[in-house]
Amino acid sequence: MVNLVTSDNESFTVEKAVASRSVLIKNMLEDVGESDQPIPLPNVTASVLKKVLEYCDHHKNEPMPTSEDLAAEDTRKRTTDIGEWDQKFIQVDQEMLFEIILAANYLDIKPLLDVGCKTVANMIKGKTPEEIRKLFNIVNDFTPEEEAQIKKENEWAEDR
Amino acid sequence: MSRPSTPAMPPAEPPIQRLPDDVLLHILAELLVVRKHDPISLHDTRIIYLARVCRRWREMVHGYPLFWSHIELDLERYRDVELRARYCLDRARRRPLSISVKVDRFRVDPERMSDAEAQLTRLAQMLREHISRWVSLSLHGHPAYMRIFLQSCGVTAPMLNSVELDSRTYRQTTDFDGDEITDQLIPIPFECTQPGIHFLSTRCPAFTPAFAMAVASLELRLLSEPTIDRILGVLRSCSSLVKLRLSIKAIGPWAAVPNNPVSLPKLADLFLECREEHALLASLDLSALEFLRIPKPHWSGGMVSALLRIFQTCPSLASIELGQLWNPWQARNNDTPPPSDIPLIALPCVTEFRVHGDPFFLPYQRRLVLPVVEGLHLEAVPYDVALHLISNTSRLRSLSLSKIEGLPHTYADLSFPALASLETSLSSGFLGAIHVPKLSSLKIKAEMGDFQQTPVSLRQLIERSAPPLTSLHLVEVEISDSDLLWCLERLLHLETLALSKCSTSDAAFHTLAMRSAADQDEPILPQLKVINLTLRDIVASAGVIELLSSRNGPSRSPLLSNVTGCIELAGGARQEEHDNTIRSYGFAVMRDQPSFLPYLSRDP
Repeated sequence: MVNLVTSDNESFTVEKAVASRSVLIKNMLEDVGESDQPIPLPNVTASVLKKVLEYCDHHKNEPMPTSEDLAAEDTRKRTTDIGEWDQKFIQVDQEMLFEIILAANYLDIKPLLDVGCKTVANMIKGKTPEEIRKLFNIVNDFTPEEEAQIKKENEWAEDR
Repeated sequence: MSRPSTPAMPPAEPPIQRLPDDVLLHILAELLVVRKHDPISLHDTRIIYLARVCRRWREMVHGYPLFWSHIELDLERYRDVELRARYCLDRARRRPLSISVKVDRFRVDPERMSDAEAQLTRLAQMLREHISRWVSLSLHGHPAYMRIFLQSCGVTAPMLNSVELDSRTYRQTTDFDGDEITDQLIPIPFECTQPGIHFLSTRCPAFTPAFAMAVASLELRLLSEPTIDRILGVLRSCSSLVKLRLSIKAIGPWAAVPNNPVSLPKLADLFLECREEHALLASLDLSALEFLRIPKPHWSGGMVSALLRIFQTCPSLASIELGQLWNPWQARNNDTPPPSDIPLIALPCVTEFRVHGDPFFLPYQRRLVLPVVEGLHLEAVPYDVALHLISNTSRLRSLSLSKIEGLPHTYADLSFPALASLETSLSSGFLGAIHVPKLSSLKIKAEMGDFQQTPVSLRQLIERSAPPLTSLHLVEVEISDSDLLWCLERLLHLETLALSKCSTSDAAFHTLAMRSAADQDEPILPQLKVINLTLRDIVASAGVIELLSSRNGPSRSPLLSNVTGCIELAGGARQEEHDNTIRSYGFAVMRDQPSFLPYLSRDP
């Protein structure tokens, strides 16, 4: 078993197979060898880690991504849809969604990062800049002059 | 504007803007992925829109070459394709380029031909500066425009591995220079050194020798009627072909099969669709052929001879498909009848055989021996031919029998020790006579057009073999409720159950619901994951609703998992209340059109 300590000082004791879905934790475990020392995760809160561990537990028996998968830089090749369980798992509010993505990135859990990024990409698809800003509460930091200039620059992109 | 890769950010910032650059880029890059059934492609999403969200996004989008390396230039749709091309090329940096050019609109406006020619030439010249990075080129438009573009785009394309020339959207009328009639060749100027090129064209191409040698996969969907010499000329130049798909309306006038056949020593996969396919088959030497598909064979003595030659000269032949149910081409009655003394035709390596019977080929099928066949799909053949083929192998894993003719009054016992999948329209005596101890998938379907339910002896099959079925699909068959329930009680591994317009009554569904209820120690169908029902009624019966409730409702047995599926009801009119009830249990609802359900009129 592995003991993980979150940024808000909560401890989680989990199977090694579950914790090792995180490449970061797997490498730390390999570095420290057989040890009961808790592993601090200063960038992850308890509520987020709980959710991440739920994902890791569900996928613990699946093969880890190969170096070939990780080297697939050309995203056109990554055509896998989000699985049914993962879709339900990732149905959370925006705050938690982005926290999960950040945690997956920090803990180096590539499949979870993919699920999160695909989910956000699906939210963006087909939306106008205004709709995207509204959806994610993004501030439009272009000046009116800049916007006019950009629009003019990109006139070629408009349909006839 | 770049962000450090740490998640700690001021809380006031919107969550998405707290992501480090590499993660946000990952998200934006996901928008490039085209997935199955995804109605919104990158094209609709508009990369440009992403760049207008805010300064940070603009910088990221403009700084990511992959966004700009797929250059789609639609002269009909976009306002200024040259600016568009320049904009993309500037940002794609050193990325390999995929280029798609569409030139539709000028075809219907011949007066603008010279404008189009000049624009295409400029475009090709601009793209030519980056030809060393082209990996794919797709041209859609009239052949006249394809020639203009290709003439101007240079020859040295060392990374090019896919070319598509598609003029199929055009009417078959004479446009520029009578092109549709004369079927001029399209000169392909490229000289590639990289092997393994995929080339698709709706016109006959003329390759440079180096390019032809590099083509591994060739697909010709010819709209015109080229001469056989022209087709063979193309094939002769492509001696490295591994995969060939020829869909040709017809071959132009020809007298005899050419004397010297074209040798394609690496060709493993051949798909042939042409009125004179026998002439093409007889003109090819294919010593490495593994897959042969002729979906609409035009049976004749010449065709059979050509096929027998292939059978004899292709020792690696592993998969054969000859004909489909809807093949409109039957043997010509005035052709030479088959000889009476056909020798045995042994195909020792064929593992997959699919044939739609034709009277002309049947005598030869009776002499076929497929000792290692694992997948056999027979349509419209007499039972004795089917029996001959299935009796000569013990390796059969997948068997499909439909429109089988000349059925016997009684069936001899048959054992299929390895059979995992069976699809058949033989439902009465046949099922009672077979032994299938490893069967995992069974589909029993009434013959097409026969809306009378066909009696089925499923119980006998299960009694005899106790198969580990995981999938059962019954279509328009008659099975008593008691027999169906008896069978389902014994199918402990069943994961998918599909009943389509069968005789199953409401009472049977009610019993199934009862046997799935929470108070059952051993609920029926414990592994069930999918239920698909096609009902003859406009409204789902109470029994069906009870069944769905028992599987997905609050009273579900803790021993059972949730089930998904679809309930198809008769009648196009929406029955909102009932549809909503079904949906509330997680099932999809579909409605059939009553005009396609003639049995409805028989119901009182």
